Amino acid sequence: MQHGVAWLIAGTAGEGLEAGGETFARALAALGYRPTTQRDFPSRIRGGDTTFTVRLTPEGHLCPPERIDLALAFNATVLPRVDARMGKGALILLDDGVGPFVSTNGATVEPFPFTALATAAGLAKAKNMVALGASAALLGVALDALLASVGDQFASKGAKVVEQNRAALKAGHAEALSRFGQSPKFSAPKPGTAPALFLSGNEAAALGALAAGCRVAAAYPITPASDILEYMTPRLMALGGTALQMEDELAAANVLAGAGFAGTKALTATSGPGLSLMTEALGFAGSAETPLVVVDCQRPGPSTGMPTKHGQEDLWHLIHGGHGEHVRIVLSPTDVADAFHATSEAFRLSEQWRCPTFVALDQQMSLFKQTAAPFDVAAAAKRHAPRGPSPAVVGSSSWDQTYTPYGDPGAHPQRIALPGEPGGRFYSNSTEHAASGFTNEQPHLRVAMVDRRLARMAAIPASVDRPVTLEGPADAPIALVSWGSTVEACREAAIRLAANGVKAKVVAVRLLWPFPRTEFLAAIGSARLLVVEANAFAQLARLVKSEAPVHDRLTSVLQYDGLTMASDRILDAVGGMA
Amino acid sequence: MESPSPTPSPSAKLTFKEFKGKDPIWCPGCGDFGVLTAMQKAAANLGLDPNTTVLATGIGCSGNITAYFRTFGIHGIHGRVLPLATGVKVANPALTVIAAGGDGDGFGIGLGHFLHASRRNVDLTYIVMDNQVYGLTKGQTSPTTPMEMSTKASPLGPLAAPLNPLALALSAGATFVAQAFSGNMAQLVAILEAAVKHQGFAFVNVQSPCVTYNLVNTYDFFRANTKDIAAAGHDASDWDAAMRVANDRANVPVGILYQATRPTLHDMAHPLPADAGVPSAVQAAADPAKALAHSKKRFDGWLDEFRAR
Ligand SMILES: Cc1ncc(C[n+]2csc(CCOP(=O)(O)OP(=O)(O)O)c2C)c(N)n1
Ligand code: SF4
Ligand SMILES: [Mg+2]
Repeated sequence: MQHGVAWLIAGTAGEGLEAGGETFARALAALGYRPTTQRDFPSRIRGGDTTFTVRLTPEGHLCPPERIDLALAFNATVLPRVDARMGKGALILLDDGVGPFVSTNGATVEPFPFTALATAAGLAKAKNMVALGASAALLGVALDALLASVGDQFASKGAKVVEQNRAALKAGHAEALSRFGQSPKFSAPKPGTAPALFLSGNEAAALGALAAGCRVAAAYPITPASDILEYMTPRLMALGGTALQMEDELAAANVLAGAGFAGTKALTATSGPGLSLMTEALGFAGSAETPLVVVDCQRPGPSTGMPTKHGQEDLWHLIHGGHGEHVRIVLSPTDVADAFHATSEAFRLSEQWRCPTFVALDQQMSLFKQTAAPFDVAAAAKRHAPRGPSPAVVGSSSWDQTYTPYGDPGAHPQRIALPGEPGGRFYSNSTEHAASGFTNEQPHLRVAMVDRRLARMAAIPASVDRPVTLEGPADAPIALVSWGSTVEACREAAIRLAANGVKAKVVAVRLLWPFPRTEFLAAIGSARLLVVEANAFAQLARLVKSEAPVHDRLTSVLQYDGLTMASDRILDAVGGMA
Repeated sequence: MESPSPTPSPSAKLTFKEFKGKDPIWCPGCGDFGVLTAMQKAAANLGLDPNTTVLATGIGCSGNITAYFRTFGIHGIHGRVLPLATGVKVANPALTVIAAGGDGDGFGIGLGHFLHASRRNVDLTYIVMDNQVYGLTKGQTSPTTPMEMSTKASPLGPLAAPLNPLALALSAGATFVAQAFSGNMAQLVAILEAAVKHQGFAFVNVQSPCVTYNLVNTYDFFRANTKDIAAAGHDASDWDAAMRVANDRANVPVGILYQATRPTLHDMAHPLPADAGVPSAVQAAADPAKALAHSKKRFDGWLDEFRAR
């Protein structure tokens, strides 16, 4: 059975589908619904078919619907792709002149005068508004909030444009009521009341960084990460920080290494190809113990891969990428609100443990939107204890042996002196070094330096906020284990399984590295494990198996077609477990 | 260790010795000794505070200079010294930032960054110890190796025409371009002082002989072939004249080829004044809660943009 209701608008890129869909979703959020969005766009700028999906479920988890209930289509070429996602009981409305079209999946297909009504309202472009009006009627959504949203969205374009759009909205609504009757054809879940934010994971991550005191961002454009730098640039300017679009990711990562050394909190956002280029510099940060934060908005690889599609294929690169061995932390937030918290937390951990820290997002989390309770920005900032005084005496330096930057025992790192402070001159070194920071390759000093790093690896998990989360009944016989936004599909699956009388719990690995073995073993208990992820090599499952003795009770659920995962796939896998 | 008082260390009376670090392990006679001495003299003459000066270096014999120059330092990876130094400067614009490395580091693996740092006019000094060879990896050809020169490690020679770093810097928009010879201490010190004082990207290409692997570009060669462009009446404000000097193949021009003023990266990246009294980037990192409290209204507004309506 379909969970919630799903709506889709389809046509040619540039027809205002995304703007219309966003307006619709935002208005629904204002009414207390829990909309999630999904964009399906080609890797080209103009033309090409695109679809924009808004889904309403009682819980608002960020995962796609299995099927679409109501689709509104503005061109013919997109229809087969839309139809493939429809089923019996579904309805497709076609604009004048599109069609005739017969669904191969049993959906009802009806013409609807989107363009004609928009033209009559004085603005042919406003056919997306006609579509929203019709949708409100068919889903039983109050028209008032939509009218208000439209006013809000077009306010800057003048009263006339607002009125035309509103007229189009009303015309669509009235037409749908007269054609399909007063009672809604589809039943949307009941709205709640909580005042909510509605945003993407990239936006949430950027806000988390700013709250954490991040004032330097350097990046190179790449889908689906680009809008993080874009979002941060004007805001950093206002805060006296600096945003730089560099010549490549090699440069971006090295800017971070320099900025971290100089005492700022610095961030870059990238995707797989950029992460590959950054790897050498991130190893340098590992050697020199420089704090910095990398947000990896994953997309399918290898190489250029599928730039506008979804995947979680960078786990192994994130935890092992690069030559040599060094301390690093890899966090994996599980929904949009968590992207805010984890990114803020990444800066705290990076500074505390003096190592590069990664935040693994994925296309769904980066670009698609979800509702979230308002962030407590002040509380997030307060988690960062003020930096203590310089650890070095005035005028000291490692040259005259009055300052030792790498002398701490490892499990309790102290902060390093910063350039501009009145003491503690040393040099930060990519070459293996002694406690003084000077290049040194003596075997016993090398071992001491490596052991210091190892001590950190063991101590890190306990310092991380919720390294593993357990949701649902602790004694459930089935654990859905996942990372990143795929956790959302697991959450929805657990709810649907419970409705079918099957007890399942969700175990999210928020700290992927150093792997939180103790916390993980406690969370899974003796349950059978279904490890769910968006890659083909079962990267999390293999990591889990290398850390926990669960080989005989682990099954993988994998999806690597470039699409996001619906909870139905997990239900099927659970059904097949018996 | 006890915690220090916030009084900055006195900087005005520092001598050359204050900037001395470890004893170099360069080959006796290596041109980089002259560069190091000149940097220490220039730093003392300028009254640089070693606690607010950062030397960023690449990898090579030349890059090892971080250990020999007693300021804060950062010895990064091969070819990336310019973005590294850029990161230091944008993080804390109050620091004096000097970047240094070899010709392989800067014009081979790191060439792209050289051009982009020139375009960006980031306010730092970039010193290249150009020995026309890869010293640390034992004598392979570099991007400035003459075509006719072969080495034991590269018997066929470079198989490519040499780059012209001076012309490249000029065409990419560097606002200070100079060349010096490590065997002419007085001139090198004067050029380095001018470079550090310059506001913007200052590039100093120092002919710094590798006595072990380059038997062509020797001290004697430079003594015979350098031409003092200031003495020859060169006008450093004339970009076209600078380009002609850079392309003078009959001589090795030394002196300041070009110096001009245009907005630095810092100026360009901050076209509007930041909010009054806003904590610096380093202060914001040191105390995020305080920084947030200062800009609370801004954050409230940014959150409000996402409120469903
Ligand atoms: C990514 C990478 N590739 C190769 C090397 C090896 N390597 C070290 S120094 C160097 C060349 C040094 O030449 P140059 O920059 O001219 O410095 P010099 O030793 O001549 O001062 C190379 C190739 C390295 N350290 N890193
Ligand atoms: S190999 Fe050449 S560049 Fe390296 S230290 Fe010796 S003389 Fe200097
Ligand atoms: Mg060289």
